[in-house]
Amino acid sequence: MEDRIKRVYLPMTETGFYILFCLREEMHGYSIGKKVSQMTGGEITISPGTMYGTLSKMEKDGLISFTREEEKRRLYRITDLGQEILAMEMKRIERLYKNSKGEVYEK
Amino acid sequence: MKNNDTHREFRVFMLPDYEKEEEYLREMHKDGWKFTHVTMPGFYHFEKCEPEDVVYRLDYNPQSADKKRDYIRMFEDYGWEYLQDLAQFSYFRKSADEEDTEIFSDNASKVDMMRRIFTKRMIPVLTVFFCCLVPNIVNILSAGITHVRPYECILLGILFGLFGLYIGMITHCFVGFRNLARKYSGEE
Repeated sequence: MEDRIKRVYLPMTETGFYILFCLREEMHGYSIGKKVSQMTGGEITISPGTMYGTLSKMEKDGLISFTREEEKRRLYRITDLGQEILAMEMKRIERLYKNSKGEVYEK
Repeated sequence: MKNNDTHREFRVFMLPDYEKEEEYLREMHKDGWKFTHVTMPGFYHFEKCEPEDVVYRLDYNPQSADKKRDYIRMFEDYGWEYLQDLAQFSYFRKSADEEDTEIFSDNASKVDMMRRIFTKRMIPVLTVFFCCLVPNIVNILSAGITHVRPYECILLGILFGLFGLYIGMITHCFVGFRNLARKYSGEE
């Protein structure tokens, strides 16, 4: 994996994390926004400019790919590279979580 | 130009002034003037309406035609009315009573937009300035201005006028971008 991708995406922003996390299933921007809002109890909202910008950037960097269009909405899905980044980020979050509970994290 | 139900105003908003432009359109709507469209170089057209608090937002994200439909569709899904594009800026509005009246939910994406404006719009302006205007001015000044014919006087006037205008514009833009950058990084 390119160092640039790691540098840009790790650690991830909350927006980036949730978008990538949701795209393990094929989705379009607005449906990601709704799902994120619902799964975080409304704590995290992703506005359309942010959503569009992040999706374009992730598509350009090969973390997600365009799958098809449905009623003028572009649908995306995570790529292998995206999966790798997401897995690294999840490990980091797990470490943070364990440490915050006073536990020691072992690889 | 003003008649009973339409109104036109001339305003100049430069590259880093998009938030001021949003505020201007909102205030006009509050005064009962609903924005209909804007044309180059800065004619804002309005029609009379019931005063209302409506939020206007500008996004800068030029995209190819095949992605444009998806782009507009996404904003519409979020409850935004798409109005038009001008000079690659897209205009949206939404009633202030509705939820989420921001188009960016984090500062990182605001900074991204500012960067897009800077690279795609500001750099071409700077290129023209440093590659065309500055060398011309330097040539003229180093040759010394003597025995100019009247028509040359006019040309020189235009050239120096342009030079001054550019200096003013560039300064204004740099100050504007710096203020936005400070605002988005939370220093303000």
